[in-house]
Amino acid sequence: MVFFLFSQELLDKKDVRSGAKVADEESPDKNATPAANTTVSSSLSERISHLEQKHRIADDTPPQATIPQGGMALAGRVSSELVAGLIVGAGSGWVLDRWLDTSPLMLVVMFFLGAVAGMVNVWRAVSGRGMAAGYSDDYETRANKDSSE
Amino acid sequence: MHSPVEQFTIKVLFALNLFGYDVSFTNSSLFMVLTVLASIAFLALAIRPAALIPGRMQGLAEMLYEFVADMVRSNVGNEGRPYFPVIFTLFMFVLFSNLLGLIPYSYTTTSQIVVTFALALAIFVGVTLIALVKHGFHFFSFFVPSGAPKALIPFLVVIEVISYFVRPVSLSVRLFANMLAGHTMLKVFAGLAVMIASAGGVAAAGSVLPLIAIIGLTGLEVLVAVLQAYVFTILTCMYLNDALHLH
Repeated sequence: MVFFLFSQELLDKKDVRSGAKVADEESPDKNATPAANTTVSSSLSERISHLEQKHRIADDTPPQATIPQGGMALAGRVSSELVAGLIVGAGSGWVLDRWLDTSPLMLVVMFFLGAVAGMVNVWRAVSGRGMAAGYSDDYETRANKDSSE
Repeated sequence: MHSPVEQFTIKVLFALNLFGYDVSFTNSSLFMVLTVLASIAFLALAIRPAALIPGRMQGLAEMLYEFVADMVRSNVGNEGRPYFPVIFTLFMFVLFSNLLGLIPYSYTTTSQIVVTFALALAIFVGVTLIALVKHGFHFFSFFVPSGAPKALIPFLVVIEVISYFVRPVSLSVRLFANMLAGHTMLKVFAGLAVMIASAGGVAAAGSVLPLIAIIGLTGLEVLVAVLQAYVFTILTCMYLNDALHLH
């Protein structure tokens, strides 16, 4: 049941992109009902080409990775990104201190940089812009579009 | 009274020492083996009928397969296809160890940070290697934000590098923390029920309340178990997508 919910969510997303949801819902029904079996052979090639069309993803446009904006998944991500940023920042600062013998300078600096990195990751998570480090070209254009809406 | 965190103790089932390393077979290892066996057995038995019109079990197995396939397709694209077996295996392992952990008297391997961090580190190293092999030195441009003021670039690169290294930590901490918190919460409520019941007399009837809460919480934990397996997998897909399509 939970799977159903999630897959429905994915389907809904796909719907927004390619309008394929209706076809997705119909084709299993056709398979399942015996009445439709008579039409299978006649329209098989048609349906195969239809399916191929549906499943084809243009190679030149990499898909935009987004986390589902659904509540719990997002809430869990935000908190763990913040915590993980601090852990990695403070941890690497501590290791650098031991290595370079600069205690506590690197710990303090890296703690704050880690907090910043955690914040950056949170912002990436909630803005639905995928996980990419760095800034893609459509970053600003999309940000502008979002703010104008 | 048992402590609510006692369920997470590692018990050595039989001691084993290999080249000076303690590689004892513990209850955690046992449940990892059981997780693998259970997921293989489930999939093998479910797809055995190989019917054109799937029954319940086959339908479930196909649903899991299509769910992950859909996830890979929509998050990584066609280049992600070769990695589907790994991602599906990962999903099944996390899902089954989360769900097996919900069975009373069993052990949740994913409640150990060592287990989740090992998984996350393997993903992190693997994805970084894929990116390095595919893009070579161009990979390092990943850390340089384009369009940023020149003076800020050294500072931003440091932040980007840290936020890259945060990935395995946040991936593992999320799964581990969710499983740990959920199971501790269940035990706390169960302990409360026992405590109230041992008060005796009329007050003992109050122990029904935490018992009802446990029913609800168990349902919630099933949701969390599946959700965390999903989140773990979809983030793996995203990291893979980043590695395959550098900006």
